[in-house]
Amino acid sequence: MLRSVFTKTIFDRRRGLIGWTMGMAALVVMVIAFYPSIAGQREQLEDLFESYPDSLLALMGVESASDILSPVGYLNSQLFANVVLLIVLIFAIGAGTAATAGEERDGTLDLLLAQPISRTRVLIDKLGSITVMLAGIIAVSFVALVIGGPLASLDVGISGLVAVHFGTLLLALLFATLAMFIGGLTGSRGIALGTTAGIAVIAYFMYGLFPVIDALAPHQDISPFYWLLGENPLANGVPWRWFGQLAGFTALFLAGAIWGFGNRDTGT
Amino acid sequence: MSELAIQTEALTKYYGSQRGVEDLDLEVRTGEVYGFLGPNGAGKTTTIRLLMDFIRPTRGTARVLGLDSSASPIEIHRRVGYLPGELDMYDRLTGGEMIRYFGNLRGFDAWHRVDEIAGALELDLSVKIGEYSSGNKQKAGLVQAFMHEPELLILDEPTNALDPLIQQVFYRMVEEVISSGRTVFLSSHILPEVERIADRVGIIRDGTLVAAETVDALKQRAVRRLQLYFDGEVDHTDFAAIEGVTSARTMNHGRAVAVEVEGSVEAVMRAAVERRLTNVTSESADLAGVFLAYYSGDDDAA
Repeated sequence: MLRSVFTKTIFDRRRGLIGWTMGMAALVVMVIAFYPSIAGQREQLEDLFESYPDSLLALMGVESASDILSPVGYLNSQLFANVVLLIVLIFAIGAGTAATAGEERDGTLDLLLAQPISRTRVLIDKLGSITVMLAGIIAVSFVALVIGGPLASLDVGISGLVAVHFGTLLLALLFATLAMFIGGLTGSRGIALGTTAGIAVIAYFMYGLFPVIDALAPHQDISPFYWLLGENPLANGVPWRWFGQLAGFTALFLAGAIWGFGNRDTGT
Repeated sequence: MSELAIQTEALTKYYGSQRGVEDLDLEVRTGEVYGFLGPNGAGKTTTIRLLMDFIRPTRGTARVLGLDSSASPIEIHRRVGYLPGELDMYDRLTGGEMIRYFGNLRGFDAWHRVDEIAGALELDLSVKIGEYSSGNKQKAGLVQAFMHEPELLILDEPTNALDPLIQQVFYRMVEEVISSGRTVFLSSHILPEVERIADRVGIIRDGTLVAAETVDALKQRAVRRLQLYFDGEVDHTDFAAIEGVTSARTMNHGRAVAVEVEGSVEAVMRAAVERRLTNVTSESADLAGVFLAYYSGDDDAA
């Protein structure tokens, strides 16, 4: 496990990786298991959700109360618009911050950079391992839904599942590379973690709340959460334009991280 | 093949408006032990981090093994063994795991050498780095610096936290490096250490190099303290007038003189013999006097 920066990064995060993977599995299985009983109380629950304000429904990832109990609406509101994002973003931002700012703060960067390996290679290796780990966590949800979904009458179609999980990975990578960019530029773990998490929270609320404010509704699509969820990939498949935008900004942040970290005086 | 293992020209680094090092012209020859001496905060670590390309010069250049430090850091790192001054390593790995990691990144596979060096330094590689004492951390740092038999070792305060017996082992390791024609550049604020192992010394103060000579030449300039005992009274001002004598004072009711001499003691001894000298005591010449003179800064007007 200590053959390369790539494998060592996975080795370093193995406990978090196992924890979040198990958490994801438990969460998705639970959400699947509850669906039959919730669907059985459809009428009472619809009355309840009717009384919710639009903004709350928007944050739950559905447009109307009747939507929330359909398989797609249920999975969006219970998983893909919130808790799944929470899990993958906590992991992504944490790992992205640790990539260089964490090593710099711990003082271990000097010896790593003293090896015959370029700073760019360090970043690429670390991003590669973060991608693999995120894909692993997200795959748990995918597999659970492909196998368990039909058993609970949650039939949403595999292409929709592929689309929403793929998009979730892209969104997680966007924030991981943002954390790497800020961390690479500043060398500060606190600034990288705080700024990236802050931007994620603000962007999430922009996505959820802009639609209920008439003046802001047209600008909802500045939030990367809209790029992921705005066109409901679970129902409609991959929205290439928006997913392309997620990937594009990820590439941009990676380039920024390589430039910022590559040209900066590193601290002890 | 360059004859100089390290060469800097007008190497300068400012941190904002603060000076790190200024107009540093260092020359370290292949095959020598170069002692880079100076008090803490003088710019030793800044210089080393410039050589390693962890930081970039404000102006000037540094060439390491003939390669520009900013242009070819990877090739330099391949051929250099480095020990940082502030040694932080992966606390959650064992010493052996960390060494395996760095070895793998180097494409290194002569693992028996790791065991040899760790054995000589009496380091247990199976213990987590987080549980190492600072001395053991230093040993682990030395293992990773020496293991791949680099052409040049750049060591920032290498004997820091090592106990005296292990320091001796370290000195032997340095001697082995030199005997195979390789080069050691080490920083230190401890004078006797540099005196013990270095061929040449550079003294840095406030970011500038104030002296660079052989240890022997520095010793020539060292201040020697002699106490001369006579059969009868002598006039100490006779001695004060001799060239090279920086001070002379009477002891033992005029029957002895304490003198401080810079350079050769020959003239003083001749004068003493003429005056019925009975006994001489002398403190061994070390660099401390020279060193302190540079540190205290006779030219400290600025």
